[in-house]
Amino acid sequence: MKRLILIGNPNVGKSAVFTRLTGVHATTSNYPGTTVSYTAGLTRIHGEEFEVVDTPGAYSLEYTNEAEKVAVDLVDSGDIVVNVIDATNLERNLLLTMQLLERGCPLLVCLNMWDDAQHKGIHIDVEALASYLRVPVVPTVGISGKGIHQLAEDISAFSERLDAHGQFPRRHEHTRSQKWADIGEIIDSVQNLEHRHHTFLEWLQDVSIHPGSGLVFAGIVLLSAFFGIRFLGESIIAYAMDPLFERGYRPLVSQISGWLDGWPLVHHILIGKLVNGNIDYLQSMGMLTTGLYVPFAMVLPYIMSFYLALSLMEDVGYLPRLGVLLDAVMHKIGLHGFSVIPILLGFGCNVPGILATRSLETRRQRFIACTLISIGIPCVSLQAMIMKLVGAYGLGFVAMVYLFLMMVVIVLGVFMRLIVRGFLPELILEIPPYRMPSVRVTLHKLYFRSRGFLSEAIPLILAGIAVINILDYFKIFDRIAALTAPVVTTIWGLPREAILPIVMGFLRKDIAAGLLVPLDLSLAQIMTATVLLSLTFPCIATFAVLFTELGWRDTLKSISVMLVTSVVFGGLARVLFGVITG
Amino acid sequence: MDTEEQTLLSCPAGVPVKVLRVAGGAGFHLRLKNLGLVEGKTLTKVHSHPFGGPVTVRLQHTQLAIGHGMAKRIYVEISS
Repeated sequence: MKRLILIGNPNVGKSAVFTRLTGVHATTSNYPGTTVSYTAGLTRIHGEEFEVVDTPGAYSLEYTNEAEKVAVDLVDSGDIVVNVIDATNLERNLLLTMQLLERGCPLLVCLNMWDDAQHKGIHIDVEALASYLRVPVVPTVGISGKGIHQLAEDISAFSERLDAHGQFPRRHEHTRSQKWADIGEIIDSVQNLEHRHHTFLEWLQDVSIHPGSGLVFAGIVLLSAFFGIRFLGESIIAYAMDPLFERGYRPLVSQISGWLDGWPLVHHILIGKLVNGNIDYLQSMGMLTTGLYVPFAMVLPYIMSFYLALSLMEDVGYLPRLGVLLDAVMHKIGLHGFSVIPILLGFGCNVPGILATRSLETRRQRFIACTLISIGIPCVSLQAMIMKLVGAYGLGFVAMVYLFLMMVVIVLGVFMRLIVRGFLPELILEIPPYRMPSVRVTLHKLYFRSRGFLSEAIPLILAGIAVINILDYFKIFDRIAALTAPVVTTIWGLPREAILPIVMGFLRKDIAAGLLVPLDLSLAQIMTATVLLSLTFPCIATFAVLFTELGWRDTLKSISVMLVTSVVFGGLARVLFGVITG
Repeated sequence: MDTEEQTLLSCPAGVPVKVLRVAGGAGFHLRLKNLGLVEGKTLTKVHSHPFGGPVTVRLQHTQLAIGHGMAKRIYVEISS
């Protein structure tokens, strides 16, 4: 099977081309858009099967960060390399094309965003470009799928030629200084520009990057994202998940509960405790009750609405603007504007957030960003529970939890900027134009992210619940609780049993938050406990990725920062929330 | 032609300027080159963001954001 590598600058629509080529048969999906690892899928053209690989965006084969390195390392493994280029930005994109030719890659050029180029009055003579480069050039529109059929045909023809001639002949020899001159020559002869008036999107682009109006715009975007996510999440819960669990599932699970009457331990593990003789999806803590209700009916709706909002901001091209606007602020916490992207991803799940720090240039920045994400950024699973537990008292209290965590991030960031050695490189990034997102790509991402959540979270949740119930049945937690009581009760002001949810947070934050419900906490205690769930040990998945990304030495440092932060800020949260809630 | 030398940070916004030279290490040069910003190119500054924020520029059909300190090291002349 031949391997097809898709490579190109960031924001050229590689993922859309990838999705078009592979359909829904992608085998893995690593958070596309901010792809820092590769995504592979299969496609079949005229009976021949190809493995298609989507790589992180790279401006040049001379990489400047870890994510670009991934792409460059993959290039040589391809039997065919498809260079996706942005037709609206031919000149800059051709640098990579020239480098790929120079390297002797078996190349096909996919001239994407063809419709955008035409709207902008950029005319490109495709045939002239192809004869200059001496490789096939196909104009495409990844979003609508236009031209993809031709691209597939060309790939197939290319593959047949490879089979017939064996090794692909090296075609270009350029000296480095000549490269830009060559590109200039190509541009002059194949591209024609015509002046167009400002469109509404361009006006919006200007408004949203302006130092003044941009901040107002950012506030509006983030607030509408927050309320949009909440509205959609709660709607899915109220109109789909709750009816399903109440009317559809409850009779069945009550029946099972009846059958298990004679086996108390099994009943305890599968169904859990009955509250007033009934199953309580939140409090029973059985594998078949809470173990399914929490992931499906509480977290999944928020996963879907969160990633929908994030994908929109990502695909429209808004995120880099946020990075530019917040650059000066981020410098204060030892990072630069680009770190906004890993942090926002961390609000979904800390794991992709930490992976996305690969796009940051230095080890120091990566350490600071990873530590801040794993301590101060609650993932969507935990946020869904905060919405449920704290939101029951009013959104104002939810806002206070967020503000408190934001304060922790700022204080910790400033502290680490002063303590962690190394220099801070500056922001340099491309601000892509706004583009209409592709419904197909968005849904594709949403599907993968939801599926990823279910397949990773459910086994952990079920295993966690089984462990909790066994420990609880044999009263083992009482001993741990006695040991940690000084910190838990004296400093954090929580009942000593609260150590159970905090420890279980190492497994899953959502189920841990669920364990707070039977403790009968006051509002201030719930707020303190949810803050602590974010501050203390990152969940096992985050921990594993911290370890692989930072190495054991820095992970240990990060954990030490975390332990001190939890004790100190947990105490502070207790006092502050105590005062606020009266 | 006016040949007054300025940096990208100090030059006025909204006026096309030509990049004369870039002071800094090879890594810095490389990153700029990868984004298409090389000596001799003409670009237009859009905004200087306050409080040490980046400078945004328009270069051909793209917009770039360049950190405050980096912008100080890019020398330009107003091409009038």
